Amino acid sequence: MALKNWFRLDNSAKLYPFITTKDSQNLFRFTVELAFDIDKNILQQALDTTLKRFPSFAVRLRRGVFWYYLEKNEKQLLVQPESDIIMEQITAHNCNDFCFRVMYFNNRITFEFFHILCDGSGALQFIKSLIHTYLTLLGLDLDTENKILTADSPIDPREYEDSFAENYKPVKLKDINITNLTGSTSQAFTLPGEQFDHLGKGAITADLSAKQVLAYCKSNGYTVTHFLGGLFMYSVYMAKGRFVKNPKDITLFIPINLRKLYKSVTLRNFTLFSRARADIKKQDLTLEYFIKIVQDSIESCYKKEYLDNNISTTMKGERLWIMRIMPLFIKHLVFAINNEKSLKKPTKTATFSNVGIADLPKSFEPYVKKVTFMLHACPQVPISFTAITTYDTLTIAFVRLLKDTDTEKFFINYLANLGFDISVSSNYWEVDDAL
Amino acid sequence: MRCNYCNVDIGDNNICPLCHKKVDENSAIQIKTEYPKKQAKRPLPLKVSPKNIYLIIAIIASIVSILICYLTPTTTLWCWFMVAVFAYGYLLIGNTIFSNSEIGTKIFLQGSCLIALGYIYEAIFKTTVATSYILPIVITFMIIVSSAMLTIFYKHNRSLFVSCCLMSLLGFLPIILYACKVTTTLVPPVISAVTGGSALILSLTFGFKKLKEQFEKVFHI
Repeated sequence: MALKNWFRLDNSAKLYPFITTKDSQNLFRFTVELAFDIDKNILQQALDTTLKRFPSFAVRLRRGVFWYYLEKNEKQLLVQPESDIIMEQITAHNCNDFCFRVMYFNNRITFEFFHILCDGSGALQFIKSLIHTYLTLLGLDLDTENKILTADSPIDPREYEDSFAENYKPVKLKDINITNLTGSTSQAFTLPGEQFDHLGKGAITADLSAKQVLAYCKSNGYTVTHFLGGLFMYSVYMAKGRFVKNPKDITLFIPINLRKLYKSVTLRNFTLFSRARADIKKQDLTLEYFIKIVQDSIESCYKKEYLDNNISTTMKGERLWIMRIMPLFIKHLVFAINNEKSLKKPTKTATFSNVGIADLPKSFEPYVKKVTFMLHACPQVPISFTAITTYDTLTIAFVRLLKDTDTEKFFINYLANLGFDISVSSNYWEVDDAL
Repeated sequence: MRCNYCNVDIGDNNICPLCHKKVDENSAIQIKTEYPKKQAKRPLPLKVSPKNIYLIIAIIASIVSILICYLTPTTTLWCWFMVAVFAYGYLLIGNTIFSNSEIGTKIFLQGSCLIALGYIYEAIFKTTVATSYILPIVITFMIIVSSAMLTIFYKHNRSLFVSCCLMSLLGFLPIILYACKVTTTLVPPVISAVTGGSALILSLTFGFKKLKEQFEKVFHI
C-alpha cells in the first residue's frame, strides 16, 4: 500500500495551532536514560530508520485554506545536543520543519513533541521503536516481546487514523452537551509567585519504587493516579491555596487515554480530559477530600456513554458547516479573541498526566535506566505535573515557571514522610534567584 | 547525598532542590545535575515586535502626512495614498517578511495589496493606470514568480501548484475586463492572459495528479 504523504490533523490537534502563542505551545517531553553514553551518529541513524516506519511523525505543519494539515517532510531531522532550556518552542526554523526534536546529552536521549503530532501514548510507541533500533544498531540482540513497533514491522494504517472521527456517532446539534466537554468555564486558582524573568523552566523529578506506591494505594482503596492527583491538589492547597483570601477552586485537568476503551491503535491524539475541581474556601481540608474529588471526577468520565457524547460533541464542532467553510485566517481571529479571554481567566490550576507504565521489554532492562515524562507550563498555568513508570521506578516530574518550589517541596516531603525512599533531581533553574 | 530536612536523596549535589539548604553548611555549592549546564540568562522574547514598532512609526507618519496635506493648499489628497503605502508596509512586514505562511499565500497577498494600492492611486490622482497597467503587470509578475518558485522548489513546496494555478486563472481577469470595455489598453492584458494560459497548461500537463492531490490537501475536500 502506498504511504500517505499528507494527513488531516486529528480532531484535538486541529485546535493546537490556534492556541499557540509566543510564550505557550503545547509541548511534552520524554527523556530516556540509558546505561551508557549516547553515540550521536548511531542515534541519527536510528532516527532516520525509525522515521521511515512512522510516516505520521515525518511531517511538517502546513496551512490549508480552511484547516491546517500535516505534509510529508522531505528534509532530515537532525539530532541535536540537549539544550539547557526545557521545552523551548518548536518552530519551523529550529527543527527543520518537523514538529518534534530529538536531543542527546551524556546517557540521555530527549524527545520534545508538539501535541499536534500525537499524545504521550503515541509518542511512547515511537520512542520505544527508536530505542530498539538504537540498541540494535549497537549490536544488541533484543527480544521485543511484541511490545514494540520495530522498524521492520509492517505499517498498520490504523496507526494514523483519527480515532475521534472513527468513533463519531452523528448527533443533532440540539443533543450535544458542551458543558460535559469543557467543564466549568469559571476561573480556577492558579499558583501565585514570581516567575522566571528569562527563558527556560524549572524541572524537578522524583523517583520512587512503583511497587511500594502501588501497594500503598491498593491498601487505601484508590489508584496511583487518584492518589498522586489528590496529593498534588492537596499540595497546592497547603503550599499556596490556604493562604489566599477567597480563593478560586483548584482545578486539575487529567487526560484520559481512550485507546483501551475504544480498541484504538492510533499513534495520534486520542485523549479527553477529566476535570477535578475542588472548592478550597472551606477550612482544614484533608488529603482524602482531594483524592475523593479526583477519584469521582475520573470515574464519572470513564464511562462509554459519557465519552461517546464528548467525542460526538468535539467532532460535531469540527463538522459544523460554518467551521468547514470558515477560512483559516478568520478561525485565527475567532480563536485570538477567545484566547485573550481564557489567558486572562485560566480554567485550570495545572494538568496532571500519568502515562502509566512505559511497558518496555524485559530485555531492555540492563540498558534502559528510566524514562521521564514532562509537560509544558505557561505563564497563565505555571506548573504541570506528570508520572510514568519504568520497570519498578515511578518517576514524577514537575515543570514550572515559578521561582519557588513550595508545591513540589510539600508534595515530595509528604511522600517521604509516608516512608517512601525518594531520589530527587532538578535542573536548578531557580538557583541564581533562590539562593 | 541526602537532605536531612526533606529526607530525600539528592544525588551528587550538596544543595537540596526542594528546600535549597546546603547539606554541608561549610562546603562550597556543588551542583551536578543530569541536565545540560545552565547557560547565561537569555531574555524573554520581546513583547514589542518589529511589526509593532513599525506600526507606531507608520501611525505617526500617517498623522503627520494628513496634517501637512490638509494644512497646505493642494487639490489632491495625497495623504491618503501615503496612509495606504504605510498600511502596505505593515502587511509587508507582518504577513510576508516575518510570516511563516506558504510562499503562494505571500505572493498572492503581496500582489493583491499592490493592486489595491494601484486602485487607491488611481482614485486619488485621477488616472487610469490601475486597470490598464498595474493589474495586468502585477498579475503577470505573480504568475512568473509563483511558476519560478514551483519549478525551483517543486520537491519541497508542492502546494505551490494550487497557488500557481489560481494565479494563472487570475491572469485572464485583465483580458476579461478589456472585453467588457473596462479598459482600452490591450497589450498588458494579452501578456497577462498568455502568461497565465501557458502556466496553466504546463501545470495541468506535467502535474495533474499532484494538482488534484494538492487541491484535496489545501481545501480538505
